[in-house]
Amino acid sequence: MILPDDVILRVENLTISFKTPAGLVRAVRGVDFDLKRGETLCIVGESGSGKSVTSRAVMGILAGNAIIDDGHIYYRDIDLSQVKEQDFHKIRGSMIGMIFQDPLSSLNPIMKIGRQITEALILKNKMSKKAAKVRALELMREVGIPEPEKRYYQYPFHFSGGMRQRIVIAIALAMNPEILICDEPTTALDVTIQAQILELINKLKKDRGLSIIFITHDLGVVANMADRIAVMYAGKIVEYGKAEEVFYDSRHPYTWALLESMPALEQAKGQLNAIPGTPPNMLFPPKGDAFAPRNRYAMKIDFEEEPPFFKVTDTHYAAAWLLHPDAPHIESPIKGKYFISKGAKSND
Amino acid sequence: MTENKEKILELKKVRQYFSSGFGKRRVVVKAVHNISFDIYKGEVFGLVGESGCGKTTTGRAIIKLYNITDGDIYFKGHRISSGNRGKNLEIRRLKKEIDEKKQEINNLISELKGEEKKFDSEWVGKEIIEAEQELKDFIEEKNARINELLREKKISKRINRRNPGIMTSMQMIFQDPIDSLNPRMTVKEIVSEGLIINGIRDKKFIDKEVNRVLELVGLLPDHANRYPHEFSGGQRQRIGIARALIVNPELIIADEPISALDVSIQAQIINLLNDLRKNFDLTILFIAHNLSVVKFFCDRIAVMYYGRIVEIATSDELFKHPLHPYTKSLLSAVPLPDPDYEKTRQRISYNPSLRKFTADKPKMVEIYPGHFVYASQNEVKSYRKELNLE
Amino acid sequence: MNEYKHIDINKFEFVQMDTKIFDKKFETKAIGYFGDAARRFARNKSSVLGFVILIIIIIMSIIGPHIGGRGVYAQEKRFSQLPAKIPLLSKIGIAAGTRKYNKQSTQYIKSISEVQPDDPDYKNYFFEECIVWRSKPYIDIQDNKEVEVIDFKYDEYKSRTLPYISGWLSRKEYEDLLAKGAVIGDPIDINDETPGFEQYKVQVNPLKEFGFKSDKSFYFLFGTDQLGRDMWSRVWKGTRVSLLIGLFVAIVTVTVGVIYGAVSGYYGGAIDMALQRFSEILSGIPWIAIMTLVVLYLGSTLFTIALALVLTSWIGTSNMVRSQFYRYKGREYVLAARTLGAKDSRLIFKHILPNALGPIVTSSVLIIPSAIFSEAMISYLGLGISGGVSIGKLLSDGQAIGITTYPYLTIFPALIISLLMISFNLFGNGLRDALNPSLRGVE
Repeated sequence: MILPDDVILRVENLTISFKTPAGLVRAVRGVDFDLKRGETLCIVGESGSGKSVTSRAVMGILAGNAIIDDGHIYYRDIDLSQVKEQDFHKIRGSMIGMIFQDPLSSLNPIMKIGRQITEALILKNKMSKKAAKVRALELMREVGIPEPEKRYYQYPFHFSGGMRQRIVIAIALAMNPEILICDEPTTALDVTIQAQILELINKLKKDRGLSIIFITHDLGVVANMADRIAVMYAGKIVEYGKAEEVFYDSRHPYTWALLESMPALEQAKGQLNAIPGTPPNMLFPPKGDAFAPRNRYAMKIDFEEEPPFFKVTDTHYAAAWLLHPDAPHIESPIKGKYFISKGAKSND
Repeated sequence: MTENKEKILELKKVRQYFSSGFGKRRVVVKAVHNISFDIYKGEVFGLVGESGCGKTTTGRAIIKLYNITDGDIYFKGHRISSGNRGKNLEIRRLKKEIDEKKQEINNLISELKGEEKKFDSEWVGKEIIEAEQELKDFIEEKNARINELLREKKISKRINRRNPGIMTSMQMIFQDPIDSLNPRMTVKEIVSEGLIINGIRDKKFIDKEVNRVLELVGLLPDHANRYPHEFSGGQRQRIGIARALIVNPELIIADEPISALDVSIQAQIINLLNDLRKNFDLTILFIAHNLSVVKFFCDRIAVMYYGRIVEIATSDELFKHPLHPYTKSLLSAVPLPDPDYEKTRQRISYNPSLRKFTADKPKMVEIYPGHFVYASQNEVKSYRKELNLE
Repeated sequence: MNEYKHIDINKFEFVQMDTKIFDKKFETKAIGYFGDAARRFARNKSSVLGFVILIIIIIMSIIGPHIGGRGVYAQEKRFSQLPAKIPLLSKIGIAAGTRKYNKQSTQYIKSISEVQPDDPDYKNYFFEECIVWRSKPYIDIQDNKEVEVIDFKYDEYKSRTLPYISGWLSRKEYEDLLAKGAVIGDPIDINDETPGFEQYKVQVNPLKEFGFKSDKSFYFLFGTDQLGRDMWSRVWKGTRVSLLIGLFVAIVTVTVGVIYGAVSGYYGGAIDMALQRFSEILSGIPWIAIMTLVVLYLGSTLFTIALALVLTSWIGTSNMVRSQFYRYKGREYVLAARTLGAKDSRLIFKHILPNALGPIVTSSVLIIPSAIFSEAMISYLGLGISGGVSIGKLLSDGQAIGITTYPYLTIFPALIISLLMISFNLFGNGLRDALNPSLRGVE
């Protein structure tokens, strides 16, 4: 499969299930997206949407009881879904890197951080210890760790949460990968530290020309980081497009509901439009649109058939029956009204 | 505005220190370092800050999970918690003063005795008696104060013992929906615990009450016989709220109740708390680090930084006119779901080392009615300028 | 997607625009803690196996002596040192009631017909008819002399069923034997010097004398010991005693350990320090020393042995309980109960203990085999129960007599105790996983 020049990773119809004692859990049910060179694609969703599972499939680190039922993950000229474990190490780290949510458990507590950064360099690139250390200090400076000479010999517990996450980023970038997958890296961090880390990731993206897949459930972070967005619910992508399109011209009721439920956009004090109910149990995937039971705008067809992707623009797609030409026309409940940049007043 | 309202909770100069180890290796963590604020009946008071600022410790100290080290806490006008550290320090200081005075007078007397030959012995004798009397008076005065302090210590020890009456007027909702429910108890047992602890045994009454609160939080009576692990995070948090509600509290301390939940579920819980507050005239102390939620939900907000409160204002005022540099940096770091806004957002960083004070110690000053900032005299001037008050 | 399927127009009706959406009801049934644990336990095959074996052994220890046994204490010299004979297995040559002899000069091997019962050397003879297998004669050195020896397998049971001449029997004894049909032929000799006190010498059929219907029903499943006591009954009785000791030790140890550990762990601070220092000092004393002292001073009854075992194992349990309390003390649900006004006792018994139960139960189950083993060890060393039977005692007796010459005396008790230990451990392991609350609903 030859990818077009601007696409560095293509996921096609990815379907993943987990074998559990209770039955087969269908975590990802046919996901398609492209990652373009030099851009940040944000995958947004709540717990159970399948966003983490998708990224782990790209890295080949799915749990033992996971099966890729169908689909392809095209990277360069390989299909990552077919690559065996013993060959995957060539890709991990040197071509695709990943950072996780909890910096504390991503680092080995009894190994000095300098060694953790240089580990891969020495093993895979066969660098000498000296050369590796020089490279590691460079990396530490790049990610903004002060006094790298001194810090090189310290243990993870000497660092704060934000610092640890920087170390994790340094380790991930040590082998100069092209793609960086970030799985909720700032969820566990304080607001000011989060801002620092996001700024760092953006800077690294520019300096190194990285292509980033950024997974989160925080729409504020998405607005900050994303070039393009994929909104996931119950194992499928429900809306997909450029950042401005998905925020300012969203078309799927779930996206509306997510945006509405954030108090930042709600100007008047009163009720938030919360999404009632809870996400579905993926042991028994629902018939039709998975979001229908919680959807104020659900129609009969939503309970019978899954909606396909409808085109809004060349770059913007949404899987909602509301976009069918025969469907009734619904005005987006948030279009323009709630965004500060679009002129909404900060307060009444 | 809030001046006529009744104060339901008052914290005065509260400190919470944790010490571990003994002697030389003793380590004291000053989690809460001299904070004071009031909460008025019926309002939602937000306490925000980042990890390690002491907000959770404050909440737990109010509900008497810890005994405060110093200061007093008043609930509806009655003192419910009192710390003895200040008193202990004062007692020590007084004792030291007594010792010093004793030393001083004894030196004087021995000097006088030594000089007996030189001066008129009668006069020397009178001087000695005077000096001794001075010492006696001094000691008496100081001892009186020491006894007063000891009495107060006794009183505060009594106050600090848990008083069930207070306990039910004040309840807490915890952060972790998984950990805050006992996995071995059914929902019914968990929710009814408050009643059982207070001696209620009537099964019918308990059932009725349990169903009443479950319905209030949007759950079904059928859920009462289930175990916590069968519920989602949002539902578990609702069970925790039901547990707090069953004893009809007046004040609810919500310690980061939505931080561990998904975004859409957070909205459910906030709506629920809002409804409950209106229907039951509750007062809520809302501890959080999510500023958007705090802005929406709270009437007044206090910002904490490393154990101190740096700013208190109404939520509108705080977001419109943040004064303290830490507040400014905190607000500037919050990402909003608005891509064009985000592209132009400038973050301000806070550098605490620029604010070292040796003279001109800062304290809480009311810059504008209802808007307090932790500031030194110099800073007060610049803040007033910012608000165009000068 | 430019091709749109044609959809029926009425499918586009809104279904729930204005209705309030509630939480759904649960589709599955509620499962309690123990139900959940039992399910998890049943899934683990090896633990279930261990459990089954355990139950079998326990049942056998109760009813064993009554089925196929000849009574624990009935002694009969005649049947001393019989090897094990298991009827079904003897057909394939295992446990056939035979014993191997060798280096026996042929002078002592005779045919029955060659020897008279009143021959003074009768006891030393081995009879041809009872020899099941023999090797070819070979030369061996004995007492610096070259002698001719053979190896042979001797059917002990058969040899004991050979008729023998009794001593002088009273009239009553004679009539008893007659009644059992144990007398062969007419009396060999009668002493009727004193009328009314006649004495008889007869040829006796041993099988009938002891009430065996035939030589097919004459077997001892585990053989007999020096005094002719049935090993089958003794082994099961010993198992019963060992299990009782184990149970007693487990119960008392857990009770003491839980109380001590709970107080220490819950209150912390100075109390914890004091209690811990005390138990640390106590644990420094080697358990053998304590055991020996207790037994020497208080005698060696079942109770004192159990007491000694308790004294050495309660500290381990209390440490484990204490660490459990520390673990659960700071949980948010405990804090929540405190804010509701719960007293210490409620927090301990309703909130912390039920959650800490898993490891406590597991460790108390695993105390049993360790207590049994310790008891076996001290019995082996000679400090065991005097007068009673326990597995350790049996092992020690058997070993003293000779492991190679009389292997059955040690093999069977060893087998039972090994099975006991393995199955307890399998069971305990399964229990530990099953009761682990963090696995609840996480599958």
